[in-house]
Amino acid sequence: MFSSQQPLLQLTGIAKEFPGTKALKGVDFSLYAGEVHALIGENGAGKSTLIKIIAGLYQQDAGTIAVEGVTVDFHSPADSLAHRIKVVYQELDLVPDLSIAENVFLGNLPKKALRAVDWQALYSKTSELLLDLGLHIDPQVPISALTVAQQQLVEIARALSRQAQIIIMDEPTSALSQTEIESLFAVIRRLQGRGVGLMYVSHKLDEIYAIADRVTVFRDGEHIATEAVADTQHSDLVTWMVGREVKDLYPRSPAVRGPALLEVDSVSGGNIENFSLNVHAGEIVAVFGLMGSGVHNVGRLIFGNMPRSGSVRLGGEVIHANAPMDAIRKGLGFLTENRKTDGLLLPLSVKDNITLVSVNNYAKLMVINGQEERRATTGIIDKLSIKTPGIAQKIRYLSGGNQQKSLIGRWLLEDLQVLMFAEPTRGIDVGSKAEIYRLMDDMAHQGMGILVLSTELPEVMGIADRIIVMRQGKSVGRWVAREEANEQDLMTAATVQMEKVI
Amino acid sequence: MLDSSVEPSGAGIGKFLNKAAHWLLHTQEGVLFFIVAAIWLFLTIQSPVFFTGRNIGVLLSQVSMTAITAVGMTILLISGEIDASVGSMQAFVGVVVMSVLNSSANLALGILVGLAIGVAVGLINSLISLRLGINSLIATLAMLSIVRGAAFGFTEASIQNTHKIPAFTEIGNGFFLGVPWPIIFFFAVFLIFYFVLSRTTFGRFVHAVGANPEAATLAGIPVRLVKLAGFVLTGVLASFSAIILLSRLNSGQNGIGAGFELEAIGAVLLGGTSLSGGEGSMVGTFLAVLLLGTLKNGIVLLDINSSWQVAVTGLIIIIAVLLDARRRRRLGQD
Amino acid sequence: MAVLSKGKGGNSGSASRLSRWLLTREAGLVILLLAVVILFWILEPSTRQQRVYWDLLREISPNLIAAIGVTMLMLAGEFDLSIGSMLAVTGVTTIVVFNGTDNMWLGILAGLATGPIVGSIHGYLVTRQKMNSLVTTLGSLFALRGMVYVYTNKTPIIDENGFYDFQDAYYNNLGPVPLPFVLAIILVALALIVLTQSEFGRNIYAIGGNETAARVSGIKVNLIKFILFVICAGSAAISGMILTMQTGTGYFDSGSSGFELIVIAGVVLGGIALSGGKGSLVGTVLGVLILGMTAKGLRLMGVNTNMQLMVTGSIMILAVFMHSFHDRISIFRKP
Repeated sequence: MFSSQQPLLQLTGIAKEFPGTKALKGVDFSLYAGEVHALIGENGAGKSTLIKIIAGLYQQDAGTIAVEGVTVDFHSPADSLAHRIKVVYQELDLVPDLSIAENVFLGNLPKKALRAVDWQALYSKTSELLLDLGLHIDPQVPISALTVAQQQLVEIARALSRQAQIIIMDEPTSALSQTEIESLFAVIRRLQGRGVGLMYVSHKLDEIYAIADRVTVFRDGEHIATEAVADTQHSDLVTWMVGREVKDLYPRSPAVRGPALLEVDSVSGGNIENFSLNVHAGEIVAVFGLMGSGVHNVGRLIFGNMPRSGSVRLGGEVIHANAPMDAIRKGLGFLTENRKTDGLLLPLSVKDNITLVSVNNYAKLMVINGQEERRATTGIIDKLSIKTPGIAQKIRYLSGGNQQKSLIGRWLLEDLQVLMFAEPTRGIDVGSKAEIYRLMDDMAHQGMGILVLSTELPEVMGIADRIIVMRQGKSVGRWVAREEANEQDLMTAATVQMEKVI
Repeated sequence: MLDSSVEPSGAGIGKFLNKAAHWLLHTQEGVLFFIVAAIWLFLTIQSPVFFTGRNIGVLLSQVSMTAITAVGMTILLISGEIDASVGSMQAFVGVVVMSVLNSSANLALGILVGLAIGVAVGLINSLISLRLGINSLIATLAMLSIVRGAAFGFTEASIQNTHKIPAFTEIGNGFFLGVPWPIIFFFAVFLIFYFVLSRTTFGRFVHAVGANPEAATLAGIPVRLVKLAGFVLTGVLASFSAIILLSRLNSGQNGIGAGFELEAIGAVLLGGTSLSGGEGSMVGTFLAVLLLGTLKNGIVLLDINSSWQVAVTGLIIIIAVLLDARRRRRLGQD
Repeated sequence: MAVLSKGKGGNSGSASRLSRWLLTREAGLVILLLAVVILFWILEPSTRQQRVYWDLLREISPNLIAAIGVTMLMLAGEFDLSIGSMLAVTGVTTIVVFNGTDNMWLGILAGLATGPIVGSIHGYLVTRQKMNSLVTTLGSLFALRGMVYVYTNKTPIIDENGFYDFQDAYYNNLGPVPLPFVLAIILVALALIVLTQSEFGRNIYAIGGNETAARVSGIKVNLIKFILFVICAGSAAISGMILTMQTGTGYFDSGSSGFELIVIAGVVLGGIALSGGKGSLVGTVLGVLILGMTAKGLRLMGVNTNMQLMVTGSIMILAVFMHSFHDRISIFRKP
């Protein structure tokens, strides 16, 4: 439908190689004015490499970039910005201690005589841009005082401040609640109306149907398909991404419900008030809530990583507050929602990461039996089909999905009664997702209790036996999944009376 | 991106050679080993004295003090902390131990007091860094001043050896089976802590708390306790160095050890241990200490103006860091 | 998640402005400085003379000037440990050129030029070769000092011409104000304007706060860092020049007793974060003054130089603790 025009951005035959890997093997991508063109693919498909090439952070080994029909060479981010291209990164690229205004105009501050910063112009221009995005905030407030959603909008304001004609969004919704996502989409549509071309990179297929005009799929550094979204089926996209059919994303089959393992009784702490729940053997319980509802803190409170009142018992034994060590010893495990900051030991090997909790089991008088440890590690790698060149590989070089599986493996080596997962599949590809859900199902069948803490509704609906919805630190409803729960009700429970965020 | 630490495959002797080549070309340890070997070869050709048992004994004895402290510092840096106070410790432990020996004539008591000071300073360092939450570089820089002040507060002048305990003189100057005691201490400390760091759960926890303290806490590791152990260990090993130095100097001097902390920390960093924690190499520290000691020794042997010692130390640090930076970039680890 | 619709508090009366100022780092440092002054006023009668303070300002000027460069560099998240050795390099170069050319201005020029030269080398190694600045400059701390030792053979170099104008510059005053301090204040003012009012200055904060963000926003991170290394070594060279004026000799051990540590201590005490991106030059000035006043007061009380270290160290811990405490309470002040 755009073929008659000149594309804003035309990438042809882009290739890029890193020591040991071919990240991109000659891919094409085009973007027209007023279009939202989604780019999808699993981790390692080459999406981020392509973004970095467009942003001028990497230089391609082969292929050409043309902006409005003119071939360009990007040697630095400044070159890319000069062509009015702006990337809104997944990991927000803001300076926390500087004001909103300075962040919006970072690298491009308005100046008056003698190259002095024109603060008045800076603040008034920023206010205008923020108002345009529906954000009523004093531009002098430091970034660190904003919510993630607000920070996301500041990133977009930054793109607007440069009159960007090409905006690239890398997983923009990964930390946003449903309401926040909707207002982001409203902003995207407005930009689209002004003739901006948007490249939208995401894992979430639902979003692509909601916002994109065309979709391109990459797999293993290769271009697989480019189609109008209206002409593609959900299953096509998945097949293109994974390279095979994923029949059943949610393989949950009910297991025999045993005795209560985890008993949480009126626990309070942080923004959580009087929260109670039970998890039985063979059961997957999910706590669902939006960002900011405190759903992740439930795990921290139970695990003792955050001060709390109230009682937590595991298999009848009391778990002390403020002592993760005690919880682990009694058979409780916890995977937080943030792999990088709370889970991974990036400079260490896959083996060291996997055996972090259980290493004492292979040691006598603190001396580790290397053979036993290696055997245990290899067992986990095989069992979870973690893709790694070896157990000595540093975990930083694994893909997100394989990192997450390694972290799960860390807990499988312990004799656990209950494992708590916060956002078990955040930021990982469809293939790994299905494997992780299958794993949870297996664990339940083996008599463990699973507690999922999630902000993703489809996941909660697909995997849980029972669902608890949280809003503003309180539990507001309980459902038996599959029989009584439907998306509408859960979402309403999670959002009603919720203050408008933006 | 493939990592360098994955061993290339092969079989038998081929595999070993592959591994060795990989180590030489792709690790900081390998680079250091190469430099040390080249300099040893050069000095052996240039000076008939260099490769003699006697000279090597002198060389290793001279570096033993820096080496022993650097071993503790390696562990501490991997755990994500640092101790700059070890320089002043050389003076404070020296004057106190010498005066205890003079008044008690009891060697065991003197050594015990010296090591106890190490424990105490280590505890204070960890208290300030971990409890008050002050960055350990700043905390221990302040302690560097405080401990130096304490040494001068303890005595205005140097304290001479009036006890004449023979065993005390042996510590820094004696031989055991023909090997100087300082070398035996140095190798023993190195081997013990090489083992502790690579083969024990404590060593694993040290890496973990340095790499990601939050993840370590959530894995049930007592983060503060591990770091505290690192501080105390560094303090004790710095005291041990101070006692050897004391024996070699035969007097407790309140001004000794200025810049010692830079040498020890410099050696650890040169050995490839990361300032940001979680990564480090005991073998690298060993080679770095050896390199710095060899340079000093070579300058004396070749009868070069001794002022070159300082300059060459600096240049070697820069060259080693440069090589490491280039290697990292080549492997795409940036 | 409140709606942040309001601007800063509407009632900005002078009382609330004062109370808000009292919560800043600078206020804490001013109070600490006053406390130190008052303490010595009580303990040591000789500190009750005005002259003592003018002397202090004269003596502290080299530290102050070096601290400017260190502050700017640390704000961008980098370090220079070699400034102590720079003092000797500048001093020796200056006097050697004095003696060789019999031209005072040429000597001064040559001495000052050592700063940008060394700074460029640091800048090249860190920005182009991607070397860690802490270790690199630790290396040049030794390398520079060693070269001075080799060149001078550890003997002080005496100004054979006896350029009195040169030496007088240290001891002369502008009105009651010592000349070195006048220079220090001018340089501080310049740097303060650059840091707070120019894009270059704001970019320094951005680099220290989040280097990737700065890079992707088109800020020339490497160029700015390179310039900062030059500025830092350059300001150390100016300090070295002032110290050379004081004695009229090129001293090989100038700055060898931990000059870099004392300056960095002052900077950190002033609230510059080790990780970069946070702090102000005003804090640095106060930090350096607090350490200088403490040392001076103790010296007047006849306390052993090395015992003074103990007090200095304790003040540092106290001040840094104060900063971290301040950070904690300021969480509650966030909107």
